[in-house]
Amino acid sequence: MSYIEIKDLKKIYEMGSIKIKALNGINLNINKGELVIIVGQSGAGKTTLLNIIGGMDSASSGCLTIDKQDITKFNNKKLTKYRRHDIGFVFQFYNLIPNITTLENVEMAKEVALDPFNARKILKLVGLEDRLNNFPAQLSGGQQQRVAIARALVKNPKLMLCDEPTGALDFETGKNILKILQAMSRNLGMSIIIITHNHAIEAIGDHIIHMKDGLIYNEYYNENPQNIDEVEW
Amino acid sequence: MLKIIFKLLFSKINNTKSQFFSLVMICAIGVAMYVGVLDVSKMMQQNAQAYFDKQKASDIEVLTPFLITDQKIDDLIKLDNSINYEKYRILDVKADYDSHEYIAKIQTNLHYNIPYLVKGKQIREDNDCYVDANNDNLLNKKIKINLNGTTKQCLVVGLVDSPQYLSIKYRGYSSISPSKINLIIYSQESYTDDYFKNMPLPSKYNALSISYPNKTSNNTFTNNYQDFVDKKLKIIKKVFNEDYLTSRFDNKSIDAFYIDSERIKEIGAIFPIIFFLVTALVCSSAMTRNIQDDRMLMGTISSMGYSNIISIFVYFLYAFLSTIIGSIMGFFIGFHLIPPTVMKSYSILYSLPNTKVYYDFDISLQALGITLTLIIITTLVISFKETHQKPAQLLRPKTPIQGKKILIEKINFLWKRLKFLSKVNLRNIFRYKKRLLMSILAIMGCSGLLMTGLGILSSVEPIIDKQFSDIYHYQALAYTDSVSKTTINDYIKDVKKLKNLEQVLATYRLNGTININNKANDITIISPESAQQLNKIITFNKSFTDNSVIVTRKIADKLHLKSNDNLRITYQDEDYVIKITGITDNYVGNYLYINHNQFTKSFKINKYNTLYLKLSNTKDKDVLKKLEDYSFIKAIDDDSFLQDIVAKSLASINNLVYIMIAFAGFLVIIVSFSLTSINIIERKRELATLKVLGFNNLEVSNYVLKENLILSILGLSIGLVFGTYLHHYIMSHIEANDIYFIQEQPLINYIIAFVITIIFTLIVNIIMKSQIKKIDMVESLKSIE
Repeated sequence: MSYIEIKDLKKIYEMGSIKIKALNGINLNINKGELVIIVGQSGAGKTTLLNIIGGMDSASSGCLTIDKQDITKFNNKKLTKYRRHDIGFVFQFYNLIPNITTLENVEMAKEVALDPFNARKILKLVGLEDRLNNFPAQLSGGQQQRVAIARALVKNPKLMLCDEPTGALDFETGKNILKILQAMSRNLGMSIIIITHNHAIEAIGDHIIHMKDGLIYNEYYNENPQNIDEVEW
Repeated sequence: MLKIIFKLLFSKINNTKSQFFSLVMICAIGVAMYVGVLDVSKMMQQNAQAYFDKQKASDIEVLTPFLITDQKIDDLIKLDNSINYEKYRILDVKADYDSHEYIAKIQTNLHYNIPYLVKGKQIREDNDCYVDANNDNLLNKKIKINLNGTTKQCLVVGLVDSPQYLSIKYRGYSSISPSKINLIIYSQESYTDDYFKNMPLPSKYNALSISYPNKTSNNTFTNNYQDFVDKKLKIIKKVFNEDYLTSRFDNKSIDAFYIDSERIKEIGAIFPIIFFLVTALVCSSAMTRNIQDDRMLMGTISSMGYSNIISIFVYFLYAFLSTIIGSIMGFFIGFHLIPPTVMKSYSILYSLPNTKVYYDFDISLQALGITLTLIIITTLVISFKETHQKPAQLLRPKTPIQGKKILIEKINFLWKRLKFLSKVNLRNIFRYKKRLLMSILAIMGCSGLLMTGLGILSSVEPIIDKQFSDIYHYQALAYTDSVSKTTINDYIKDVKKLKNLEQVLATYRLNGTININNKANDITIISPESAQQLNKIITFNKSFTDNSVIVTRKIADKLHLKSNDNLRITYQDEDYVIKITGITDNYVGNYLYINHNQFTKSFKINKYNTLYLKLSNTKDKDVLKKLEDYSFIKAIDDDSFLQDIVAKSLASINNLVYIMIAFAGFLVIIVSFSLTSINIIERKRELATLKVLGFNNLEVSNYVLKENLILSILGLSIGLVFGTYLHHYIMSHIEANDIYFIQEQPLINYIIAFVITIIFTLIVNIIMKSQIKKIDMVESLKSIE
C-alpha cells in the first residue's frame, strides 16, 4: 500500500444551477519520501487537489488515504488536528503573519506541533540565521518564502505541500527555494508535493504528474532527478 | 450614468447587509438618545403650554379679601387697555361626603382656567358641580357644602383638571382651617349667591383673572414671558395694592413643574452629547472599513474607464442613505420613547391631560446635521484617498500595516516572562493604532455613561432616607402669628397637654433669597428659641450652639463659602449680610440656621412664628388633627407631605436614568460588535493562515478576541474614571434645584459597570467566535493571479 492513495476523487462546485467540475476523478499513489511535482495550466484543478490533500477543503466524492487514514471521512475537528500535526503548507504569496518576526512566525507553527524541530536550527537550514528578528515586510520575497518553508518544516510534518512556491519570485530566487525543497526531500526524507505551471521544474522531481481539466493525463517517475542547478528555464 | 450608480449602490448594500444594518442601528441609537433626552424638558413644557392655551390659563390672578369692584377694573383699564378679564368667586369652605370632611375651595370661573372634564358630564343644573380628578369616589355623589353657616348639597357631575392646579398634591392653604386644602369644587356662580347675599351691589366678586391677548411671548417658560408679566404686575399693583396677586410663577404647582422639568434637563444634558460622539466615532470607523474593504469595486470601476467620481458618489449615497434611515428611526424612537416615559412618571405629581409628542425640528436638524456631516466627511475623505490610487493598485489588497517592536519589548525582564501568544497579542494591539484609539474611546464612552447613570441613581436614591430619617427628626410644623417669647411659651404649654408630643420647639422662620449666578434662590432662615433643643430636632454635622450660624451644603458649595465667610441675604427688598460659622449636610431645601441673639441683631426681629413638633409615636398622627382646634395655630405642615412629593419627583428622574443606562448598555454591545467585526474582516487572511497551520477554532478565536477583551478592559478602566468625573460634574452643576445630590460613587457602581461591560464584551466575543469559525481558508487565501 502506498503512503498516499487517492481513488476516484471528485470535487464539484455548485454555483446556482451551474456545476463546475474542479476534479473529475483523480486516481493517484504517492510513496513516502517522494518529491512530487504536479504540473498544469491554471484551472487544471491542481490547487484544488492540493487543498484537499492538505485538509483545507473537502472532496465531493472518492477516497484519499494518507498513512492508512481516509481523510475524506474526517470531520472538521479531525481535519484541524491533521493539518496541525501532519501537514506543512507553503503558498505562492507566503502568508506570513505581518506583525511578528521571522523567528516568531516559525515559533507560531511550533506552538501547536507535536514533535517540532528547533526553530533556530530550521531557520539556519534555510539560511536565515541573520534575519531572526526582522519583520516580514523587512525581508525580500525569496527570504519571506524561506521563512514560509521554515514555518512548514518546523512542525516536522508527514507531508509538505507547496502551491506555486516560486510563482512570485525571479529566476535565481526561485531556484534557491527549489534547492532548499529538494535538499529537504533528499536529506530529511520528507514527502513533498509541489504544484507549478512551469514544466522546466519537472526535471528535479521523483514523481511527475500532469493535470488538465480536473484529470491526470500523464504520470511518470524520474530515475535520476536532476540537481536544480542544472535546470534552466 | 445614474443607472450604473444605483445598480452599484444596491449591489453594495446587498453585499454588506449586516454592515449597513449596524450602521443604521448605531445611527438610530445615537440620534434617538440625542433628540429624546435633550427634548424631555422642552416637551414637558410644550405639553403644559398647550394645556394652558387650550384651557385659557390666566396670566395673573387677583384675589381680594374684599370685593373686586367695577371702579377698580375701570381704573386698571385706564392704565392698561390691553387686558381681557373675568370676575369670579372663590371661597374657602368645608365639605363632607359620607362623614369624611374635606377642606375645600369652591370657585366659579368659566372663561379662564377652564376646568378640563376628565370624566362625567357637563354642569347643567344649578346644583351641579365638578371636583378635581383624583376624587373618583365622589363622582355622581351628592356632597354637602358648608357655605357661610348654611349647608347646601351639590351633585358632582364631573371630574376635572385645571391649569390652576397643575400639581396633584399641592392645593394651597385654607383661610378657615390650619390644614391644607384637599378638594377643589367648581360650581355655577348662582350656587354661591347665598354667600354674597348681604354684600352691597353691584359687584359680588372677590377674584379676577387677567389675560393679555398680545403677549411678547406666549410661552410661559421663557424669560421673555416672565419679564412681560413682571411689568404687568407692577401696573396692576397700582390699582389692587392691598390684594393678593399671583402670576403663573407664583402658582406653586406651575413653579414646581418648571423646576422639575429644568432639573431633568440639567441631568440629561451631557449624556446624549457623549452618546452621540461615541456613535459618530463608530459610524465613521465602520464606513472607513467598508470603503477600504471595497477596493476591488473601485478598481474595477475605474479600470473600466469610468471616472472616480462614480465610486465616490456610490459611497456618498451609501453613507447618506444609512444615515437618513438611521436618523429617521432615531427621531421616532427618541421622541416617542423618552419624553413620554418621563412625562408618564411625572404624572403622579402633575395632572397634564392628553400629553402629546411634539417633534422638535431644531433638535432633529441638529442631530441630522451633525451625523450627516461627520459620516459624509469621513466617507468623502476616505474615498478620495482610496480612489486616488491607480486601478492596478486598487485591485490588489491593501498592504497590511508593517510589524513593529512595541515599547514593552524594551522592558526585557517583563517581555521575557510573557507567553509566546501573549506577546503576539500585545504586539497586535499596538499595531493598529487607530483601532486601538477608537476602541478605547468608544468603550470608555459607553462605560463612562453607564457609570454616570448608575451614579445618578445612587445620588438620588438615598436622599429621602438621609434627609427625613438621618437629619430631620420632627414630623410637622405648626405656624402661628409672630408673637413674643412669653406668648409662644404659653402656646407651647397649652399644646403640650396633648398626648404623643415629645418635643415642641419655638422658632422664627422667614423666607429670603440669595443670589447665585444672578439668579434668586430661595432660602429659609430659621432661628430657634433654644440652640440645645434644635439639635434634637435636626442633626447637624457639628452641634448647634448659642453662637452658631450654619448654612446648608448646597448654598455653601454654590457660593464657595467657608466658615467665617459672609452670606448676603435679601428679605423684603432689604439686604442682610451675615457671617456664617459652619456648614451642615442637607439634601432638600436651602436653610440658614441662626442663633437667636444674632438673628435679633441682624433682622431686628425678636419674635417666634413656628413650632417644630416631634412626636413620640410617629405613626399616630391624630395629635396633628387635634392641633387644628387651637385658635392660635394658623396652619400645619405634615412633613410626610413634603417627603412624598420629593420622593415622587426623584423617582421620576430615575425613570429617565434607567432609559439612559439601558441605552448605554445597548451601545456597549453594538460598538463592541462593530469594532470586533471590523477587526476580523481586516485580518481574515491572517486568521485563515492560522487555521491552515492547524490552530483550532478556540485558538484562532483567542488569538484575536483576547485583543478585544484587553482593549475593553483598557477602555473600561479609563471609562470608570471618566464616568466618575462626569457624574460629579453633572451632579455639582445642577442649578435649577433645591436638592443637594450626593456626589460620591459607591464602590458597587464600579463593580456593576465593570461586570456589565465585560459581560457584554464576552457576549459579543461568543457571537464573533461563530464568525471566525466561518472563515473559509481556501476563499480567504486565494492567491491573486
